[in-house]
Amino acid sequence: MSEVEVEVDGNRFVFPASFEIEVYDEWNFYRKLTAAPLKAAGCDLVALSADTMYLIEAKDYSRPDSKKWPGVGKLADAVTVKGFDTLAGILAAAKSGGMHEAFGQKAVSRERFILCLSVEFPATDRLAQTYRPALKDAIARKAKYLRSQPLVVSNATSGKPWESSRAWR
Amino acid sequence: MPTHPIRALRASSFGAFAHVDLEFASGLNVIVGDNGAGKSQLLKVLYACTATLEESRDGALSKTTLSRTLASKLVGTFKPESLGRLANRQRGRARAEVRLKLGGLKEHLAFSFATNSRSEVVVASAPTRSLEDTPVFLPSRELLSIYPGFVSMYNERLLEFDETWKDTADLLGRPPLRGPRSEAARELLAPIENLLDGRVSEVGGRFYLEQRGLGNLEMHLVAEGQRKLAMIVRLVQSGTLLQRGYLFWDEPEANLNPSTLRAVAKVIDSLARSGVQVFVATHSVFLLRELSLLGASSGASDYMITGLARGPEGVVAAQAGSIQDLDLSYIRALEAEFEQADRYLTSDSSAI
Repeated sequence: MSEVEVEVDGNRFVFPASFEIEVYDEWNFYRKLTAAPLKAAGCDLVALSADTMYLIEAKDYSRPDSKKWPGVGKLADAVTVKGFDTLAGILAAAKSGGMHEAFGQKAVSRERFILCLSVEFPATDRLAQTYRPALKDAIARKAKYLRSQPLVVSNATSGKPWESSRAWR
Repeated sequence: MPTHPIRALRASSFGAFAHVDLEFASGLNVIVGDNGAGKSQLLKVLYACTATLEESRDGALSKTTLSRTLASKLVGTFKPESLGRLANRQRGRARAEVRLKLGGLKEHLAFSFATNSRSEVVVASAPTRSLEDTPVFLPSRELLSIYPGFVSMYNERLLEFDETWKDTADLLGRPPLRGPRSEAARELLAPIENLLDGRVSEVGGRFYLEQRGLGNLEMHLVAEGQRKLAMIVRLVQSGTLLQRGYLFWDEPEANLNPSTLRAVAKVIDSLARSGVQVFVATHSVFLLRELSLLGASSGASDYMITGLARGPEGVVAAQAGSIQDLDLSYIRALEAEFEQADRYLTSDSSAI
């Protein structure tokens, strides 16, 4: 088995071969959920390790063509809503009888889930990296009812379950 | 834990508080709030009440005696020009009311005083027994370096230091325990002495840090963070904060760098786990995160965070079992960090 490689928002994510990965926001099933009246949001990736479902949202604000930094509060809001909506979407997929049913069932059978933001800040110096804990605190406060500590990482973060790096020039 | 842990405090028109009705954990209590929100006042009123009840012998716990000793302790602890200055006049009220509930004691300590009170409070109810455990108030700076001669000078001269400094200096001077309890103290102190890389000793009324390879270092030559940890060592060595007692620590983070503050957080956490009822007032998001990490790693639940904020009619409070559950408006330090993150991350000068 070989590693799984996915590109999201100009960044390359490389997962261990033991992971199962779905680019959730490209599912047709998800696209239908984005229409009225649900207007669901969704994380970029759903990654399954042996015991954990990672809901991963990737944002790169360091790209010259990236969207403007939304602010800690608004970004935390957006990630939280995406996390909740993705959980609901995965649960619905698990009962859908459609092509994502098997993945959905595996996902909901995991012992725990972790909402993860992989973020590249608009400022790239070392001091900027000290704001990742602030972002984690902000998301943890918004997502407190999930009772699952969020993960906020960047390409430079060591020790995360996957590797990621800039794919854009 | 203390034989009679502090369970609850209700205070109206006292100091900065309009009305607060608070409950406390037997383990670790963290108090947050902006400058002037009353964090130190909260620590001090809890200290003044418990110190009065501890210093009074059982026979002296009559309402009449307490009305004077409590008033004297409040004035000594807060240092107002007169007791009545501690009663605030907001909302047209001119009478401060305080009620303290202690675990295992049927009677609350309840008292009040008016804006024109000078040296007496009116005691509505009082426990019939004094407290067995000693309260300790640690101000934001360490006291070991000023200890030599401080207590005798305080007793002989009019000094502007509040009484907590003298009380704590007295406690720091208590000699270490002997016997079986000293073994328990050594066990609790081992990780702190590792952090200090040495042992704390007292010779002729002066404190030293005996560091391996360096010999006895006078406290003036030791970093402020180490002096703060050394104060804890002395208080544990003497049994004052050994598996019991109350610790009120005002801004432990003052003058400390983050790596030392991490060590201080570990000490605070281990004291609370060992049975000391701990109250910490802090502005430091770093310290809050460290305490949260320490609590999460062990699944500890005996934790309460109290947020104080100024409202139009005085200071109001909110409480939660975790930092995430406390409304952001009570954690101004965190709110300020979010704001700074946004300014920094979008500033041209930061894109180095």
